[in-house]
Amino acid sequence: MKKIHIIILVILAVTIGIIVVSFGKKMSTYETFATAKEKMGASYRVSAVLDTTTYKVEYNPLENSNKLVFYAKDQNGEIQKVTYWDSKPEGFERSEKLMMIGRMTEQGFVCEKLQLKCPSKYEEDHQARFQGQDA
Amino acid sequence: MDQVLLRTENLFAGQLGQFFIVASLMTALVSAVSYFLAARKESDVTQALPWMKLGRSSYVLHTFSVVVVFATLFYIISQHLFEYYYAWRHTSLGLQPKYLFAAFWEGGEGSFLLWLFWQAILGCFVLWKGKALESRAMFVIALVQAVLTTFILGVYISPEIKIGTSPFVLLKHEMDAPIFSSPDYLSQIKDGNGLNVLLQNYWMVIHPPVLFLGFASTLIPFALVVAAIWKGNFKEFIRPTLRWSLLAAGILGAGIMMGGAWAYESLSFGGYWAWDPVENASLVPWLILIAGLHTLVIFKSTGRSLKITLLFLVLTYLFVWYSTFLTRTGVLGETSVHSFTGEGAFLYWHLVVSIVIFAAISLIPLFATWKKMPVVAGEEEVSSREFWILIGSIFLFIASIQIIFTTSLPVWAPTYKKITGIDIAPPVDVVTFYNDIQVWAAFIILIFTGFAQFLKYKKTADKKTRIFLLLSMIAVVLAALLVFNQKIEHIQFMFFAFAILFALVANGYYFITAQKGNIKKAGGSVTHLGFAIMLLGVLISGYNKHVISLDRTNTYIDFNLDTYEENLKESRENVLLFRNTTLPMGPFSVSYLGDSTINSAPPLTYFKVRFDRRDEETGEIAESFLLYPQAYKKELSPNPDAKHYLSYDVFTYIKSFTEPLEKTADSISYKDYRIAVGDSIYIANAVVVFEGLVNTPENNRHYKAGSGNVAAAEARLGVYDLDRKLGALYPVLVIDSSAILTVPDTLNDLGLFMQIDKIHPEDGSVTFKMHQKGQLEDYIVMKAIIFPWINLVWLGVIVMIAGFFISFWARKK
Repeated sequence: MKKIHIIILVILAVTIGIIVVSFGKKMSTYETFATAKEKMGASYRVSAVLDTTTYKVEYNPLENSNKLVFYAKDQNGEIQKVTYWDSKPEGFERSEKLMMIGRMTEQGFVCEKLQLKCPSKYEEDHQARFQGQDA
Repeated sequence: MDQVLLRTENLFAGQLGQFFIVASLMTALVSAVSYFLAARKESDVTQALPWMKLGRSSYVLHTFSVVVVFATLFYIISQHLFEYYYAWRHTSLGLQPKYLFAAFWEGGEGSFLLWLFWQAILGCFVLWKGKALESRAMFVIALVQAVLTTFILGVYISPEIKIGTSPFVLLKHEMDAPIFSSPDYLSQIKDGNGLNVLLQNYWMVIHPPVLFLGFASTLIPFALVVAAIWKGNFKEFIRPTLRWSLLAAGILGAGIMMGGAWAYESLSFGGYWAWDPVENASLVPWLILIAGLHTLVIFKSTGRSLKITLLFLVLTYLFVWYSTFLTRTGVLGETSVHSFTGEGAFLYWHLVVSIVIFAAISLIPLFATWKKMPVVAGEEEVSSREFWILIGSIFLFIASIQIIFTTSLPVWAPTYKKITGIDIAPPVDVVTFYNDIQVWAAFIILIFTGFAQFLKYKKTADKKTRIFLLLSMIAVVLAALLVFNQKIEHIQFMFFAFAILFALVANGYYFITAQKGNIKKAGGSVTHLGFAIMLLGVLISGYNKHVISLDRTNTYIDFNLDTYEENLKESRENVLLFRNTTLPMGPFSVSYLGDSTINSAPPLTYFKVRFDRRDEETGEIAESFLLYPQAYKKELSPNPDAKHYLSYDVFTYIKSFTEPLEKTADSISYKDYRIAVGDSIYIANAVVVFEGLVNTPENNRHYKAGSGNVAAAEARLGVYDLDRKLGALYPVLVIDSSAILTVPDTLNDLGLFMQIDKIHPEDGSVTFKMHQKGQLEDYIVMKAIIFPWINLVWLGVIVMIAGFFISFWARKK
């Protein structure tokens, strides 16, 4: 074997090692409120939908422009109070899905990062726009 | 306007476009087949020549067809021919003409067409200058063009299976509604759907063409490499491949960073790079291309590293297609903030099949002839230049594999879940995850760029230990100063700082001493210097980016977070500013002065925010500037604004705002004022003077005389403060045949709303209803960030790209 091959093999082994270790430690998992509750303290990704049937979205910028409180329903149908320490993202109420990164606490779910899936303006029932019009 | 609405469908444009799509597919196929036959008979010129001629002429026809398709679609879009779905969906009548191109490539069809267009044009250069490689390389190019054309073909082979999506489909065929059965349905389609407001930015006009030109230019090295493997002739492909790779590296690099500039200027995630899957997908082919470029230089100088060069350059193009697969099929799902839409399962398989075809024509011959490839006996000297460039290239490749493997998580996660039962997700903090790994790859590569140039090809280096020690010492001292000055506390970024400064010092030294400042020879050094300057900017602007809009009014609330700091950070990054109030932010006092809306489609609102910087010693205002962060109120999409200094940027955007005055006006309370011409009303900070009453209003902002109007009167009111006119209001009262209408006017700067309630002919006085919005009703929530030394990022990019072009130009015969 040539020296260069040995060096390349060593590089590969080290790099793969780093990648594997980083994956083990850093990769997140998709959880539900229930499973996140079992593993309190760490952050996970939870996919949920905004639930406005029982409670209203609380955002009062006059009082605190960095606090948003709402209720979200996860895939299992569990509803949780969620606190997001940031301003209310635009289009929040229209969102059809919330991808939250955060942790479960005794007081509910604390969301650190929030991504919205909004019904894209482009996909938004184009058909329906024309349905109302007659020939 | 009326003529536009009453016109009939223009079906000719679409038929013309569709005809030329089919023509471009046919000509590309004929060209590929002809070139293939010419290549097979290459040794016998008399037999090959007729096929070559057919291949050439059909490729020229193909290019012509693609240009016609491109022009036709642009015509349809620019004329807003809403009978075509593409024009309806991506434009509206109010769209500013400069964004027509952005609308062109907003959709998948337009992007594929742009890609097709560039590759067609670049192919002509190979046809013209390809010489001995022409027939084989052109076979590859024509084949790729044929495959790419099928993506805009839009042909149903069964009711469920459609090959490609044509940009020329009609709206009435896409929509299922009764109005389309009417022959004059066009008169009912008042306007198009419009262009996504995020894309209404000049970077969106120029960045996609540059990026696609970059993608397209990686086709040429791919085609030349396949051509070389085909005949096992690895001599004549070197020079053109090197030049095309340099060109592709420069253009693709520029395209990627223009995308970063767009993200910085018009997205509100606050930065130019977020390790988003879409960004990663375009970065990876570039990194592999850079690796291939370096190993090709080794091959050119020493005859070594041939196989790995061929592999890298083939993979570059395959990864361009894999990027398209990731970003266009919707397979990334929730992991990307970019909203390309998936176009169904068929696109997924269409792309998979295409990638398999391209892999088959490149990787199979490569591995089949692997053993037969020329090799140089013996091994590289450890102190030779080729040895270290090769190791550096391998690191570049590994770095790109780490990126693409992680980015592809949604692709392999379902399989992973089946095996392990774990529903794996991307890391919680994606940016830190990539940074912490990639900083070490960058560290190694930077160090190599610094010293590999001093080594010589094919031999042991002279003793240069002293110079290296000296350069390293300088770099250590400079890095220590930088670390101290920028308060860098993480060990990996200290190492990173050292590597950057070593690369700067060593490349600078090499440029001055070895190349004697001869710019023509110095393409490599200049590129490396640019790379190091860019990373210096990345380090400082990324590490010391800080939010200055900290909310100090709300106290700490315990929410079981890890640390107090984390809590603090999470609860305070946005500030609420009432109109005409001032808050301190970092070195600035910031005031919100009001908003104004321009009637574009959709209406765009500017928020006027003033920044005053006080001199620390005297307390005097040293400078003031205005920023206008914008938002499309209806779309609720913010557009940041930034003040650029040499050493830092102040970056600000709106997170939340109160509703526009007109909307809230119904629910607010008015006061009546009965005044005569010349009288005035005192309001907060200003006085309103009733300056006159006009009977036939002309050029009124809100009112145009209609046929049923009997009479109309316009009141003219000027608004003044102590020393100047602040604005004017022109409310109108209209007497119609059946009713009396009042047309109000507003002055947003002052939150002032005014309408005529009654005109009293007996004494010439007028009763106005007026409301001034209280300051507490008018506020914005904004965020302001300081990016130190972000200009180094842009400077570095420009220098780096310039370096590629210098090398390209220096290799002209």
